Amino acid sequence: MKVALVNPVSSGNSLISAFEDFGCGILSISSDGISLPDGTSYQHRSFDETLNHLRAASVNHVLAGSEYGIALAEQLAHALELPTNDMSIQEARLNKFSMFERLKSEGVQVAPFYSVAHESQLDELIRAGLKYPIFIKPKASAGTDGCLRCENHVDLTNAFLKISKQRNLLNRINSEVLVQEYIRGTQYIVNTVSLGGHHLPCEVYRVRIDEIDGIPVYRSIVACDIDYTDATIQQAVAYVETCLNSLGICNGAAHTELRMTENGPSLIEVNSRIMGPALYVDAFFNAFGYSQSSLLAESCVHPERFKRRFVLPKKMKKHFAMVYLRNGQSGGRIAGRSGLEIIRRLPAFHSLVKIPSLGGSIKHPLLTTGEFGIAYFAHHDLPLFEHSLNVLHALEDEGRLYEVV
Amino acid sequence: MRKIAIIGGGPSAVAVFLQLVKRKAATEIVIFDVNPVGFGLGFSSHSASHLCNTSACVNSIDVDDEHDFLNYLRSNGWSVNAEAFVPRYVVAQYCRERFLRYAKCGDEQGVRTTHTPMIVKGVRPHKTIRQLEIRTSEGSHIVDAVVICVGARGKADFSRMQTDGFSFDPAISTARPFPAEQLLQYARDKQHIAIIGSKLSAIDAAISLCEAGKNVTMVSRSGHFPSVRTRLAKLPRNPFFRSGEPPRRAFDFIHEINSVLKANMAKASKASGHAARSLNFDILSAESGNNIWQEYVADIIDSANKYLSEAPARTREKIKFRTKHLISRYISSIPLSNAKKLQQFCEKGTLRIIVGNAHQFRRQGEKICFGPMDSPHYCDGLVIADGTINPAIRREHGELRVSFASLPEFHETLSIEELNSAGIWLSGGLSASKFPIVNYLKFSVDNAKSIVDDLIRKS
Repeated sequence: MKVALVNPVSSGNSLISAFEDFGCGILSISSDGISLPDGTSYQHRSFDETLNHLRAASVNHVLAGSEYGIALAEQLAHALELPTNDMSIQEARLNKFSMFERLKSEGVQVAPFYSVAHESQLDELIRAGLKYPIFIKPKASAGTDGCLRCENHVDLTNAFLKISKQRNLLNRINSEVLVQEYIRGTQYIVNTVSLGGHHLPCEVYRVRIDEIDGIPVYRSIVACDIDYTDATIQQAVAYVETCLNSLGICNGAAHTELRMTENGPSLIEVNSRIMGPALYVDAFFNAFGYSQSSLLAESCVHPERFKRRFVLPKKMKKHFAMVYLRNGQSGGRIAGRSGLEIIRRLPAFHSLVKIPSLGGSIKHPLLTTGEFGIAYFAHHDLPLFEHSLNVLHALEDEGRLYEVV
Repeated sequence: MRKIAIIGGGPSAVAVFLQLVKRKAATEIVIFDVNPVGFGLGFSSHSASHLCNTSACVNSIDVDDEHDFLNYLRSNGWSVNAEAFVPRYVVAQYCRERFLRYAKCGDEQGVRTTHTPMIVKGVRPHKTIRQLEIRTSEGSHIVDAVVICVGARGKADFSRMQTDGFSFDPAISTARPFPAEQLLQYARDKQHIAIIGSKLSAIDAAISLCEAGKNVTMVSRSGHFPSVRTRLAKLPRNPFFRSGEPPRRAFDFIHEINSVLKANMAKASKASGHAARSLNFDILSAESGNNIWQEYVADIIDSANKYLSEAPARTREKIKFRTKHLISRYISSIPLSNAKKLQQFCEKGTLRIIVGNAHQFRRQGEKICFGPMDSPHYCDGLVIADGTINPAIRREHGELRVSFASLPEFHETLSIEELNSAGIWLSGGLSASKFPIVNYLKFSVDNAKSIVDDLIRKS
């Protein structure tokens, strides 16, 4: 079997391994200025050219290798008549404003949202009754890039001017931004793999977010009991399935973020790709016995085996967390990593990935891109697991993870 | 069949649990604690900066293996000697891991362990059978014996601060020293923070806050830091006592300690009057090995608990009063590394310590102020770290209850011997009425052995 992966960067690397484990040949395609490390990828220049190349290679699947590959992967798969998502509503998966419009039209509960191109529109929205706090973010970007919570008019105007017309992490200009009433409640992540319109929840996470100066700072995501007997988790999963159906997601991976408000679930965003920014497959296997990447590969290579999972009971082996490491709030040049020794000795420690190099500079200490490294924790004993996480967070808060100059 | 309940789930409870399992003294053990077993208040900090002030060699919770904690550290890759002061969170995780290990071990031997996360309301003899009834928030449990291991609690007497007619809600305007991450969150938008207290938890809070770039004023009755030590270890034969061992008579014991400390205190007094100067003196003493008093501390604690527990209550109280200074300054002394941090912050001007107490704090608009009315000091945050309070047992409506209020009537109505004969044993802070120095892990561990000895004897 041959699988084409469009822009397999960050967590997309885990997809390459997952398919290779099943003996699949990988054809990496780079587009939108994304450079792939091995130099063996196919460089996308025009749609027809790439299409012909894939047709000649007889690929069986075309999948997004990251946020940067979603649009092209779906278009290529569709043109090759391979399994993908509903192309008639692709815009609703790529653009956050269209996403909310689509969900609203389908009767799915979402927080009030607006698309704003000019500063003057902000005043109109406030006059029309939009209430603070207000959340502002690019219509399409990655991580928490450009996301800001605004408490008043000055905050809102400054935030708008800061991100509007600027180039975002997807290398696109924020011609319009999404403005939304702030959604209060605990944030959850639901990762899924879909096949033929059926959705398998792989993992459900509770997200710890600290807000620093209005910027949401992702600290850790902690897996919830995967048997989904908890009413809140059941509600979250059911809501996500409704969103996926409304957005035409039928095949492949999705990573959905939502908040559980007083009035029920409310969507933050659906991304039709695997979770980012980096996935260390062994850590997920240690806790769940699979990873989202391995399930996606299985759904393509062994669909019958994958389908059995829809009815099999689910059980998490260990408690699991993924921590986006921080080092206090200041940037600078990394001169040492003495705190890692402490983390590695914690009972629930599993692994560390994307550790920054000595001499490397930390420019955006609050951004959730895994710039400071990612730690995986897994342990069968919940109190010990939580204790280890607390020690790690204390170390981060005290800025003792890395020596920064 | 012997069902034993342990009320409380901190390190003292784990020490008792280990003994019960290892010596097969129970067929069923039920631990009552609303929190997970293994993590007590004393080791509740998650910060790697917050060190134990006892050396690793006295932190074993297995009375049969004094090297157990050291071996645990080494098996986890720590390169530490027996005298090292390790972060407190490591002791907490060690206690939890040992609890899990022995629960599994017990299970293999047919000893069933249950953790019941409920609040115990009271304990009383069962009406018809010679057993005890534990009343919880959700029902009753019948057991053969009870070991109560409820530890100390942070003081929370905010009423002392509601003075001067100012509206003040300390419960929401103040922070506790732990957990460190909550303290830092509280301090995030504050620059000048006052800490009430100057002992261990106050020092931990001061270090965390100063490291986070805050200006800190510590306010305490003494206006001084505790002394500084490089170890708290038990010597096989203490050369500083004439016979190699502390004297057996209580007054001889106190007399000898005081005479040994006299020389040190005489030198220290030259540096006293100024907290930073006194701290510098103590650091120099510790670095040069002149703080010979530190070699006595482990023996003093052990001997005080051993010999003074046998003395009449009035004698004990008298001796405790006479040794108050000794306990607060030397027995509760701090690790050298922490002292050097304090020294740096004092020199940098971000930390100072002044004489005062909780009465002097009041609210003035958005600010908290303290000190004289005509020239007050202002701060925008207040941390209450003025120590802990030990629990006591009281009898109420025919049952025994644990209380954190001051209960002198306990001495008149219930003795530890009476409780033991009723099938109830006390460990840790609860035995403060009999033992003078209870907030010391090794004491609880040694006590656990005596308790299980008694339990086996009386079964």
